[in-house]
This record gives sequence, structure tokens and C-alpha cells, in this order.
Amino acid sequence: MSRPLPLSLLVLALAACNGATLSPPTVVSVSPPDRAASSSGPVTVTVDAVLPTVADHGAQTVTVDDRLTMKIGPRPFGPSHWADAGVIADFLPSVLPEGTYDITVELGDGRLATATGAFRVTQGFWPIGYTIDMIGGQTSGVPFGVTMRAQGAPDGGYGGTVFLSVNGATVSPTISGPFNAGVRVEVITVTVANPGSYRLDVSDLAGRTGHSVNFQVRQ
Amino acid sequence: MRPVALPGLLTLVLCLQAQAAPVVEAEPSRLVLGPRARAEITVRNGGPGLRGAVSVGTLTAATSTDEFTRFVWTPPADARAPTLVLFAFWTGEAPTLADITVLALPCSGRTELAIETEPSAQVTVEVAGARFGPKRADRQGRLKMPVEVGPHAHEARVIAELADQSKIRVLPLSLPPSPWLLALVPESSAEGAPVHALVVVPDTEESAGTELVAEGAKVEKEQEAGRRLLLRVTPDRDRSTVPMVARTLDGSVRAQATLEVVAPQATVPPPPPPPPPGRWILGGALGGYVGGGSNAGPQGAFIAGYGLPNLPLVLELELGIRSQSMSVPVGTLGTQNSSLLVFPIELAVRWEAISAGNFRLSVRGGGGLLVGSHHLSSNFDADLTEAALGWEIFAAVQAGLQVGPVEPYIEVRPALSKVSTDHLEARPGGGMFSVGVRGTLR
Repeated sequence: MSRPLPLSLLVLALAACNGATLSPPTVVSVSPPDRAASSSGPVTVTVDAVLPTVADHGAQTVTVDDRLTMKIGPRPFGPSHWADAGVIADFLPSVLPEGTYDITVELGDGRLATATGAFRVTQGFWPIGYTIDMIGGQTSGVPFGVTMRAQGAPDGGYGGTVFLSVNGATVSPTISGPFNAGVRVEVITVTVANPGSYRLDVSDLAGRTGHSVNFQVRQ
Repeated sequence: MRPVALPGLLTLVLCLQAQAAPVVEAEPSRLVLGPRARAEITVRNGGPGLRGAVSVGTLTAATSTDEFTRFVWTPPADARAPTLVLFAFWTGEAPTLADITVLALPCSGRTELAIETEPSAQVTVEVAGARFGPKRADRQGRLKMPVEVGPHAHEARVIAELADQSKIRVLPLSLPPSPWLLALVPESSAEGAPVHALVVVPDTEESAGTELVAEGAKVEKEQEAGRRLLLRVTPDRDRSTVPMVARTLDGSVRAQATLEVVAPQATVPPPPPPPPPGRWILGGALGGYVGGGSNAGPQGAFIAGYGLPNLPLVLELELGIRSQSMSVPVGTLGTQNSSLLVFPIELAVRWEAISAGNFRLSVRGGGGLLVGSHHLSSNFDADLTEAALGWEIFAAVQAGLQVGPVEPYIEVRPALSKVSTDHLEARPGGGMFSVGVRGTLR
């Protein structure tokens, strides 16, 4: 009566060995590992991981779940899918205050990796304020260019980004691209519910601000 | 003095029409009887049906090649008297005298000759050309001279030398006659069938005339050449033995033999072949499989089996190996490789359904586990190696040919199999073809 037991145990033991639990992803490197709070630019995070894969030899197909979620601190970073063999590069605006930040990576099957304190933001050197060149009349939802200038920036000019906002309207993008030698020409889109006179406001992480003169936005 | 030995080998081929007769040599060509006496008899042109006979002593086959057969002859343990030993060799069961080669081997005997001569004489003895001595007689003129006497000797010449004179005396030697050769061809009579009797008389025989007397058989002369006779002996009905003697005409027996008459044997049906006992069988096979898509690759197996006693069934344990792989592009990511190595561990029953001559046709059925290793690799993410477990059931047909101790065979096997993990779906079976060989452990 007890003879089948060893065979059953053998089958169970073999079954327990079937398949493999995928190891969590690993943040291999961050470049650069630190940055001044007032600067912006590309950051590259290299990740090592086994993507969730199913190979069907009969159908000769391979299904790969390449979903990816990455953050530097609270800031989403990189594309939403695996790319470039795990070398994830993205532009990081000057939106993180001075401090140390974790980098988190989450794959499509929920496997998660956290590189604690992998990215450090140092003290920034901010301008004293911003000016915006004259903006003519615009049409709601139609992109147009604006020129922003940082005032009183340290040597080399300001290289960070600013937040954009229009009171009573929506603006896109909400964060500018990087200033170059204290100047940034940004193509923005202002969408208003009602035609009228509006003003573009800019600010940075240190609380310095600037605004344009009022300009007409029509439907 | 010692007798002078003849140089080299002595070949005696007494048959004039000896083209088909064997060629016989003796080494040595003569010998002195004693405890260590022996001679090698080499027979060429004998063929596969070589027969031999000897007048006295024992003739034993020692070496046989395609070119010659070598016999060893030893005299009887108590033989000391000089004799001429006769050998006869032929091929087949119905020879003529021309087909028979006869060899005579002179065998000398050692003895001491008691001599009475003049006192203190210097004595030399000559026997058949060999000289013995000199040896000095005692004061009474007596001495004993050791001599070797061959079968052809008739007298001894005693030469006594004293001062300036010498005397020669002749002593007659009385030697027993050498036995004749009497051989029966074949050695026994099947159901009273006639046989041939060969009689060879040595040339030392002084009596004239030869006859063969058989008790309870009819004797007819077939051939006669010199002192050799070939006779036909037909046993009387209901005789089981026929004693016979070869003798001189004055009744002195020189050889004797007994012919056995073999009665017909009742036909007994051969016993049925014993049932095959249990046996262990080991084998191996190589081949390939195709199961659809990338389920294809080479495969091999080691098989250990036990043949059940009294049944044409073999229980088998099969340990195999199979390999398959594929390489597939995945969107813009890159190329994904997936390789699977499987080790089947299976039990099977093989039915030896047909056995005709050396041909075997077997039917197999079985199943078991597929234990394997799956490896994923790509140019866009890290590698993965995982264990893989599956199962298989199969049926198969084998055709084999028994060649000596081994049986090469081919196998065609439809199989249903599956191996799956969270990262793999595979069927490493399908249609399989193998070429193998197996053998039974003795």
C-alpha cells in the first residue's frame, strides 16, 4: 500500500524543480550619479533584468512582456517599455530639490528593484529672476514660440529648466527645456476656454519667477 | 661405439600413385625405445578427412593447420624389444592402396650381450653396421657389452683382439617379429555394412604368406600390392562384433582387431527446444525526431532490458537525450534564442512479435518522464536557465537482423510528449526515427 509513495514523492520533487523564479531586476549604473539642483540634462540608467518571456517551440514564437516603469525619486523617468538592452536614457529637468534619491525599476510582471540613494542632487546656483520677450496675439491650441531669459545667473548662464503656467488656461509643456547660456526658446501651446488676455508665468525650484506681458488669445 | 644416425629426415612414400595420397614424415627417423621415446609424425596433403592407423603404440593428433597435421606417437610403456612400427595414413572412408601412405619407423632396443671369449681380450661388437665397445674381458674371458639392436638385425659380430691376433665370432640374434598393421576403414560397421581392412606386413617379416581371418564375417580380397592387402569384410547378419586376426600362413598371429557392428538406432524425436531463459539485453540508438515547428532535433538513447523467461517480452529502461532550439526576432528588441535539452527516463515493454531466421520484428510501447534544461538567451536581456519537466507516451515498431552476437535494428516511433514551464511550451517528440544495436549479455 505504501509502495507508490516514493514514486509520488519523486514526481513531486521533480515537479517542484520545474521552471524557474525570475530574479528581480538590478540597477547596474547611473550616469551621472549626481547633479546640481539648478542644472538639467540627460541621465542614463543601466538595468539588468530577465524580461518575462514565453517561448513556444511549436508555434515558433516568443512573447516578451517589455513593460517598464522607472522613477528617480518621485520623478517618472524613461520610456514605458524596455529599450536599448536595458540602457535607459532620458532628460531630467531641474525639478528635484537638493537631496539623495532612490531609483526604482518595475517590470511588467511586478518585479521591482530599488537602488537606494543612487542619485544625488547638490546645491543649485539660481538666477535672480526671469524675463519673457513680448508675445503677440495667439490662437488657442496653436503652438507658438516664446523666448525666456534668466537674469543674474552665475558664470556660464543658467542651464536648468522652469515651470510654465497660464492663469485661467492650460499650457503645454508645463516644464521647459534646458536654458542655454541663460536663454531658452520654447514652443508652447496655450489652450483657453474663453478668448481674452492672458499672461505666461515662469518659476523655478528656488522660487524665482518671471512673467510676460499680457497677450491676446483667441479661439 | 654408437650407431651412426641417418642424416636428416626420412620420408617414405611407398605408394607409386601417391598424387592423392598424403605425404608423411617422421622426426626422428629412427629411435631407441625407452621411457622418453616419442616421435612426431607430420602429414601433408591430408585434407579434412584424414585418417591414420599405427601397428603399435599410441598415435595422437597434436597440431592441425591448412597445410599439415602433426601427430605424436608414443610406444607402449613396457616396449623394449626392437620393432618396426608401421603407420598408415589416407583420406576418406573408401581408400584404395594407392591412396594410402605407409611409413615405417625403426625402433631399436637396448640390451646387454653376454660374451665369453679369451681372457683379457679387447672386445668389439658389430650389430647391423653399428659398433659397440671396445671393452676388455675379465680373466675368465667373460664380459657384458651394452648394445642397441635394431629391428633389421640378425646377428652380432664379436671381434676379440689379444696381443697380435684377433678372432671374430658371429652370434645369431633372435628378435621377436614386429607386429603387423591391421586397420579397419571405417572403424565400425553401420548396420552390418561391409568395411575395408588394411593389412601391412613389415619388411622384417620372414614368414611367407598373409591371411586375415574373421569370425562371423565374409572376407574378400580387394587389392594386393607387395606385402600390403586391402580386404573387404562383410559381417554376418545379427553379428554385433567381429573379431579378426592377421596371421602368417603357419598360424602365427601378428595383429588382431575387433569390428563393432553398430545397430540401427531408433528414431527418437528431438526434444522440444527449451524455453528461452531470462536474459539481460543492452543496447543503444541514435536518430532524430520531428514534432512540428521547432520541436525537432537529434536524439539518442541507452536501453537496458530484461527478457522474461518463457515469454517473447522484454521489459526495458530507456535513458535518452534530445536537443532542440530556435531563434526568433522579437519586435525592435532583438533576437531571442530558446534551447531545450531533454533527458527522457522511460519504461517500455517490447514484444518480439516475429522471429524468422535472423530477422526480428518487435512492437514497443511505453512512457515516462522528460527531465530537461531550458535556456533562454538574447541580445537585449539577461540569460535564463531553468529546469523543465514533462512526460511522454509512445508506441514503436522495430525491425532487426541478428548478426552474430548483436542485433542492429531500426525503429519508427510515434510519440505524444509535452514539456512546459512558465517560459516554455515544447513537444520534444512526435515522429521519431532511430538506428540502434543491442546484444544479449551471456
